[in-house]
Amino acid sequence: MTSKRWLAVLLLIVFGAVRMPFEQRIEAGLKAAHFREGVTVPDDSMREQLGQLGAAAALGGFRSFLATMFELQATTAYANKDYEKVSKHYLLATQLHPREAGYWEMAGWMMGFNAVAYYLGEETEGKYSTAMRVNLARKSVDEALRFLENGLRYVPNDYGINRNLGNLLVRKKGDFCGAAEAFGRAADSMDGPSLAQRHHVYNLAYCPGQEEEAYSKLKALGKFFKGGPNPLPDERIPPAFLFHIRYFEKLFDIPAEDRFKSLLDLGALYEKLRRNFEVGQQYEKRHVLNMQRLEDVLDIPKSNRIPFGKKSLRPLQGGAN
Amino acid sequence: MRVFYFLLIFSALILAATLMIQNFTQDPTRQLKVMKDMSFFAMSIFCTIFAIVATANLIPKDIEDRTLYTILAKPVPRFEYLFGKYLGGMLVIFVSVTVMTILLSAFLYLRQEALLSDLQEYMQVAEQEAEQAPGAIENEGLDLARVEASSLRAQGPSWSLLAAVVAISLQAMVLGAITLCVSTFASSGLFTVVVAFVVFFVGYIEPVVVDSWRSSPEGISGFSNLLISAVGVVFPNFQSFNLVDGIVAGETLPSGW
Amino acid sequence: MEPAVDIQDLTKVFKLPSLNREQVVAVKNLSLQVAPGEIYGLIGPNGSGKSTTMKVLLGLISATEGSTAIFGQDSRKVSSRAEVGFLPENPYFYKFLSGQETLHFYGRLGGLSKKEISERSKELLALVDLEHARDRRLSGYSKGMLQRIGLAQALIQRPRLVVLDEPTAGVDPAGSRKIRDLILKLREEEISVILSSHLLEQVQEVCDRVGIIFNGKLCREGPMEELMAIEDQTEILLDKAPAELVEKVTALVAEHEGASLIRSGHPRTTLERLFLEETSGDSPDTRS
Repeated sequence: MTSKRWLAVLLLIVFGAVRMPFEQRIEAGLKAAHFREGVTVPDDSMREQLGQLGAAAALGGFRSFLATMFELQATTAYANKDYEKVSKHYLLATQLHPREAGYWEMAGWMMGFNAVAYYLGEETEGKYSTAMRVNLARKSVDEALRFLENGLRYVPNDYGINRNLGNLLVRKKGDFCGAAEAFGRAADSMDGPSLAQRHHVYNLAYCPGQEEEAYSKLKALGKFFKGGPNPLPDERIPPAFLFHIRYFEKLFDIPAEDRFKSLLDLGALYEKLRRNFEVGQQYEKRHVLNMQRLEDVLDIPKSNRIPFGKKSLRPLQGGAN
Repeated sequence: MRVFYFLLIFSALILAATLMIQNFTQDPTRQLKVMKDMSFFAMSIFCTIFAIVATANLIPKDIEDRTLYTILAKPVPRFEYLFGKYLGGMLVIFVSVTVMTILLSAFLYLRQEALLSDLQEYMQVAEQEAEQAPGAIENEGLDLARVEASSLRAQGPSWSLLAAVVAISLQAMVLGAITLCVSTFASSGLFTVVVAFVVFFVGYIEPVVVDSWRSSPEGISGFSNLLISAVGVVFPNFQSFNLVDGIVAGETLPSGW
Repeated sequence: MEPAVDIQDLTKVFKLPSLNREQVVAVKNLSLQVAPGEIYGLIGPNGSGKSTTMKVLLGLISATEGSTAIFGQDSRKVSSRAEVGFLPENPYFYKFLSGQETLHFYGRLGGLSKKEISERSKELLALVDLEHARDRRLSGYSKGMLQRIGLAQALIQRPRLVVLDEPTAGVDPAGSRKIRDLILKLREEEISVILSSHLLEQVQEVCDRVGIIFNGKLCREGPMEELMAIEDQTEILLDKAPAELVEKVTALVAEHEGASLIRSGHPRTTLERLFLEETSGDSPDTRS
């Protein structure tokens, strides 16, 4: 009896010793193929949120499921306009399933746009002081940035994360260089021409020190519009493209015959846009820059230009406000 | 027999949950992910619990009812008896998993097709709009739809889903074998179930704990290393079967698996 | 010719699962043989070692010492079980199977082909009188029916030896009689039977030879007639004798010097007396 028992123990050990190298090889393979990202012992704060059962489930192969559940809760919190909870649940979802790009993307969108709109919108007016509302909005932009930037560490080439990052940087930070980079990565993740590609170029056009690259990329865009079997008619050339390329043509003194051929009247566009302008309104930095660039291209005299001042900028445009 | 009723209820639950979740998220890719998450969750839970609970009582029940005596009194080697019992349990799991996989694939395929045709329609409208509006070939919706369509196509039924199913089944097989083994010497069914679950959890958690231990700045002492190896020898590494999370996220399986 | 059952110096010790390593000697130095075609009754009180002996014989548990063989084949070999059919005490089969399916299951275990099984199960269902219940699930069977399907199951692969552990325990008298008749039918087919029982009347009716087992030891063994015979007494059993004839015989006995009539009337079990004599003498634990 006892000898049989020893035999059983011996067999178990021998089998285990044979098994281990196999397991280690599988494990290494899975790790290399990103199957193990997010599989960690939950730290204290995470364990507290997950609960014992959740922590066990997270280790037991249910991370994806749990992440889904947390995203669902985040959606509910969003419906209740509880952005603190939105952020908390997305943090859990992204920690549990970091290779799922959608969580990072949505977290960035929720905190960077929805939460900011809420804090700066009518709903919180009177509820908090203006300074506090701006502060809350700025904090949630920072949170959104953290989400998106962390997400890029796990899925660097994701279209959604990069697009949201680009939008966030240009619209809530006034960071055109960073936005250009992010849109560039988003464009690289897609086949063929895309809007992301154009956003990359337009943002590059406002990035100091990148003027030459911006111009050469604009020229390539122009070739795409006018070249090929189906050249775009003039009225369908994007105006943003046109005033950017005109600006650089002027900046680099490009001879007339080498300039982009288009009969589109930027002056009419400027007049139309100018009619919508109101003193005392606040605008995003990119819109202000667009108007100023149009004025530059059209050689509008200083006295006739739109009187943009510091007060014309919305909060969170990279300024001090 | 009851297993199949259970199965039926379970799939109905998944379906209901999946349909419900479509009200929460508009992102089509996410809808498919939720479907997969739910189904794999149900599948894993079913297989794990069934592999343990159903196998734990197979032999003790035969002994208690003395059916074992009538069987072993026939010219049947004990190994064959044990193996037969084991295969019987596994067959139930195999059939259930097959049914679940077919259901999941079918639902996934139908939903994917429906979402894709919605997207196609959307893209056509967006393209027409872009052509009509002067100066507005910039269409964010078109970009998004293109990205969405390509990720949607990757989210449908695929061989890698099957790999996750196989991994879940293999895990159930290992777990069933361990449970059956414990049940041959355990004094009660409860003991068997508890031991099996302990083995399962240790086998699942140990590799993760060791990993984070190894990567901690303090490192591991020689003695602890020995202890870890001892645990690794006795308990199988169940993390090896944990493919679901990665596969749902769309990772490609390493060739070694 | 090889004995159907050959048990040599069998000792079985059970270790109890406790800390002080208590041991129980279930069977001690037991030897017995059953000839082919013989019906052997093993009798003894509960816990005397009958079932243990049978389980060792069937290879269900291993002997501590000694050996057991069926038709010359060591019981530990799987192949020895081809020659034997076993009906355990109060058997439960798979309740979700019908009578027919049960026989099919055990037939497959016995290594029969599907064709053989369907022929054989037809025969056996007729033999045990369960044709009417062949498609009913066993959960709807009475105790007696279960016992009979158990017997049919034991006989499925035409074994030359049948081991019956308390075949009539818990079965009502009518059912019990049916089983007894079945055992007698086995004798006609020259199948050896080893059965245990404490229904002594029945053992007396069907067995060729009996062994009395008590506290794990075989106390007494022999052919039925020998065991029952009381050497200095003679029994005359009369059929349809009128009262005058009995009176005449009584008178005749009275005339003879030294002889006396002990009892007259209808015959009674004597095995019971023998049983009690053997088992109650040195142990207070004689409940049955």
